[in-house]
Amino acid sequence: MLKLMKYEFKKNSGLLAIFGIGLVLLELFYLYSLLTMKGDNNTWVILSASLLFIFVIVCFFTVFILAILNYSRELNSKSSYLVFMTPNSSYSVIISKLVYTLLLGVAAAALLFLLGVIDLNLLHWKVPDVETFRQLMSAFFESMDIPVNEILLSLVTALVTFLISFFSTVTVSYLAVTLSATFLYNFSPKIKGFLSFALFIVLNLLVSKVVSVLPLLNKNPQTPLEAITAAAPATAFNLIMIIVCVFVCGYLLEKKVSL
Amino acid sequence: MLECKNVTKKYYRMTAVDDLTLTIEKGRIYALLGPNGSGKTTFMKMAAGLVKPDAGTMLFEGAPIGIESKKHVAYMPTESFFYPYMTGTDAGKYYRDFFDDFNMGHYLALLSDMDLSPQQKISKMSSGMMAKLKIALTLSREASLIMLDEPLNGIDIIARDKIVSSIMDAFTPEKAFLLSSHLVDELEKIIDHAIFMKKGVVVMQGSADDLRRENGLSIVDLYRQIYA
Repeated sequence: MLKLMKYEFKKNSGLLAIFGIGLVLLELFYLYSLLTMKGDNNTWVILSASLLFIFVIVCFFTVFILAILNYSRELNSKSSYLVFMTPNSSYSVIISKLVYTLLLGVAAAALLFLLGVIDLNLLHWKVPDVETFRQLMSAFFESMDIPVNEILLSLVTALVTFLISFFSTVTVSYLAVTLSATFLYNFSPKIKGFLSFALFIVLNLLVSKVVSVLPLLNKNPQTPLEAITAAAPATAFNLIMIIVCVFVCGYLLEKKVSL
Repeated sequence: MLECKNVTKKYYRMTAVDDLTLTIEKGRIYALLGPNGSGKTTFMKMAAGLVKPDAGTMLFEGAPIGIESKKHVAYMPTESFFYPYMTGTDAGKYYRDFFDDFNMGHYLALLSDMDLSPQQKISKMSSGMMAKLKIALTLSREASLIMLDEPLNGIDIIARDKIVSSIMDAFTPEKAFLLSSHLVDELEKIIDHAIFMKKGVVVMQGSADDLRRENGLSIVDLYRQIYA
């Protein structure tokens, strides 16, 4: 599975390099604007910081969009032979793609978070009126009047809940793509593409509908942790969806695939 | 080695392979012959595990086609199937990573023999160069069953001789080769066994010598007689 992940990375290395270069250029633009800032004229700093922020958001979501597009492209192009000719199970193929996406997402989030902390501290060094990252966080937590250990727990729980919800969407889209490559393989590529997209929308609407009717464990949460744990049934359902989708995709590829 | 019993594969309303029963034995070079749409590629893809049959059973060394059979079956598709970033060396490394029977040294020697640069991007290669690269990759595996789908397509007459001799060099009595081609006269020299397919069914098969003797025709002439 590690080898499959290695080639997932290699396949996307060109696009990742473009994102990396874009990030470096925007970071340099920000640093240049900051170092050459004179007096109160901070227009360029605001512009570069805004561009950097937008780019970071785009990069982060592109990682997940890329995960879905890659899988679709893999099943609908001849390069699928490269993967499916090898002695790997369909489950390994799917799980390697998900783990790769998870690792890439976590690595990208960590890098961008670190960059944000550095940039904010640099801004504080140049403009002492602006609070450092730590000051911002301290002020926020103090205003919330929440113990530090609960804040850390809330952050970790929120991250896990977010990832489970996001990967539920990714695996549901994998299921839509797999259905189009197995049961719908006799249709023309255009019709298959349309049906695959329609399936993706319908399946995600169904999942959202089920999540919306699931009960909340706490109707009146007082802290972030209580709010997150209140949605535990929805998170559990999303987790079940991930497992079911991976299993069904693997089974369909194992038994029905036509490349 | 490979046993197919009543295998059927349909694409929409078209039956690509229809109730096919066939056995491939080791120590033989088979020619899988027939015009476009006769089911040759679908049959090979099913044996490679890329397409699942709708009905029937397909066994490799007594076990269903799957992870284990993929370790011992090498298939060369007609199409280009490489990732856009790949060079000849990258393709070799990919095969080395996934197939324990792949010999990188032999692959590089075959590339050199076929006048191909390992550093060249595959997407920039001509169709003939790509065909040679695919053959070098597939023949560099020590697989028990080697299937080459249209190995001589797009290859000039000089290079064809090199490929035919590479196929002969790679063959051993422990292996079986299955070659599909429209260029029957090129294959006639090297095959032991011929399988003629038409509309998804085997219309004639047997040892090349027996077929020639029984029909009083060469394999090329038999091909003409069957499909003309």
